[in-house]
Amino acid sequence: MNRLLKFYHELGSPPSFYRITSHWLKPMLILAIIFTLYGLIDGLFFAPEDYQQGDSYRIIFVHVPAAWMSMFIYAIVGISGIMAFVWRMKVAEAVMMASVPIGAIFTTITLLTGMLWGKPMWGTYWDWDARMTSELILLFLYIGVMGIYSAYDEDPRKAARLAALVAIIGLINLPIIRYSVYWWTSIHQGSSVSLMGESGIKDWAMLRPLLVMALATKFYYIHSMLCRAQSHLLKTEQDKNWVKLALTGERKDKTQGGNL
Amino acid sequence: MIEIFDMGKYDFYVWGSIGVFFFALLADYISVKAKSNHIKRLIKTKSRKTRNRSNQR
Repeated sequence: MNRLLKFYHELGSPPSFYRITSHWLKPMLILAIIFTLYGLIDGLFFAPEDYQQGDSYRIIFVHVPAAWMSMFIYAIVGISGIMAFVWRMKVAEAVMMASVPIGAIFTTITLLTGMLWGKPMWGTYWDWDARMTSELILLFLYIGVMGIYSAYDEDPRKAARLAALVAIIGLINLPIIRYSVYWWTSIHQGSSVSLMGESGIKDWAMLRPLLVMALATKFYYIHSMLCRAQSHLLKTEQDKNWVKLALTGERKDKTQGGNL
Repeated sequence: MIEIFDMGKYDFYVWGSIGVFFFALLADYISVKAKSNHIKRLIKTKSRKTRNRSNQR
């Protein structure tokens, strides 16, 4: 436990975060590519056809992992937002602001692939249904957090605190998205995967590529988020000695105001 | 062979979704790399200029 706590504190320091996560970038990207290729080939060509939806259900292999990621990333944004707001941790600010654009991308993928699935199944690309509307609100929340941060670009720390506040308030949307299909009459189907096994996909040949794709999107998120968080820290800490050391191997003179 | 890609006449919707997925993630990957390289280059240039100025003194 002590080692875990020590590791957590180490990650909280920008130079250590930069140094440690630099080793994770390539493995995460490689795992994301391998899992995506395996998941898509398995899902598109080897998984059996659905007895009701035919081959159109294969959209699930990109739609559902993207939808899970859109909510998972927002939860990360909210948690790191709380850490940035309460403890004013620079790394939490970096993780929050790095996660927001990736979350917005996954939400856009969810909405677009959902529309492409909706047309052949429901006969329409869009309906102001509770699940679709709450997912659209999630996209607006991501855009709002990004907008607030860039509106205060002369003071990135203040901007991050304001963006964190909006992100924390937006957390209320997550249970609404999750339970919207149960709380309101919806044309959207229920959960594709259930931990208790009472509903959703039962066939392992269909479930396997879905879970593999879920892992692939997680690995890609970690890669992209760490790259963005590193860039965020380099930009906001560019006058610090550790940045010079990390990029050029040159130590800045301490009289110039740099510190490690 | 063509039948495999036919997707039971749902080819536009299925391949369209896969296309959206790949395009979005590829665009994200390219923008992340470009941003990272830009910031690194900016800091290196700034550092080089500061070093040159201190050498001239």
